[in-house]
Amino acid sequence: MAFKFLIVDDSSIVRKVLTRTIGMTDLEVSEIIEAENGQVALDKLKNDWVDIIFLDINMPVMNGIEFMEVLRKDETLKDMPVVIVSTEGSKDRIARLEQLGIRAYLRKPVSPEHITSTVLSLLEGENK
Amino acid sequence: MKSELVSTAAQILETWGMFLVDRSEDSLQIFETNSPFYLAELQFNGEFSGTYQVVAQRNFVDSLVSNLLGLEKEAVDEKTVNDALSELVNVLSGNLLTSQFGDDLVFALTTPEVKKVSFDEVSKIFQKNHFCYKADDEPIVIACDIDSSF
Repeated sequence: MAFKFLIVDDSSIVRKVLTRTIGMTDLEVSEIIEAENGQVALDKLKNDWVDIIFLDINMPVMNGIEFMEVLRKDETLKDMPVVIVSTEGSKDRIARLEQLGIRAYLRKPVSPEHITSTVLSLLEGENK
Repeated sequence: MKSELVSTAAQILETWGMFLVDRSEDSLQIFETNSPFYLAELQFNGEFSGTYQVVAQRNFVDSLVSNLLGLEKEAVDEKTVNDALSELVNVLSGNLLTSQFGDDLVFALTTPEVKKVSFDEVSKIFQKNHFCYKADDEPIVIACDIDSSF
């Protein structure tokens, strides 16, 4: 099964590095879509279904928390797995994101092994 | 504690930045004085507060962007410089905090700021707790300034 991912981060560097890191895994990937903030991500999700969203927290226009709040209210998208990729250490923000149902938190720098184990555990869980 | 920070920062430069990293002599002389200095800075707040700073010059940033994105230096504009150094100080800060305070303490990190600074400003950074490296032979200095209550 080939996976399709969405990377949401305002830094093009971060998006490229994460794309490169995913490319270093053994995961079969059909496509990686990029979005520079939560609003752009929501727009792209209107036309594209993805297996996992890799989400930054601090972004202009629509940040990670605002994105999660909208996503969880959307009947079609509410169960889509979201993984936070950040260096964020704010207890309040992480607690809020956990309330909103984030499925995993990856601290940068993210290794190919971390991505593989996270993706497989999330998507195997989905299939149970 | 300092040796852990030194090795953590080197490890980030090696694994994330894909550099060959060596400790460098602790001297302003490692820099080219006629080339601009970039200062990337990020503050953290929590049980302790403080600032992490990275000082580097354009050759280092060009190498970093080449390693991360595969771009030739002619294609590296100021926005890319800003993005690359912002992310470097972001990743370094998160990992240095963990190295310094452990996994359990939580911090809020500010948005990284990148600016060009003068030689005089760089010399002030050398008065703080800092460590110097050569990454692919290009100098980089990382400084941390932690609340005196620590």
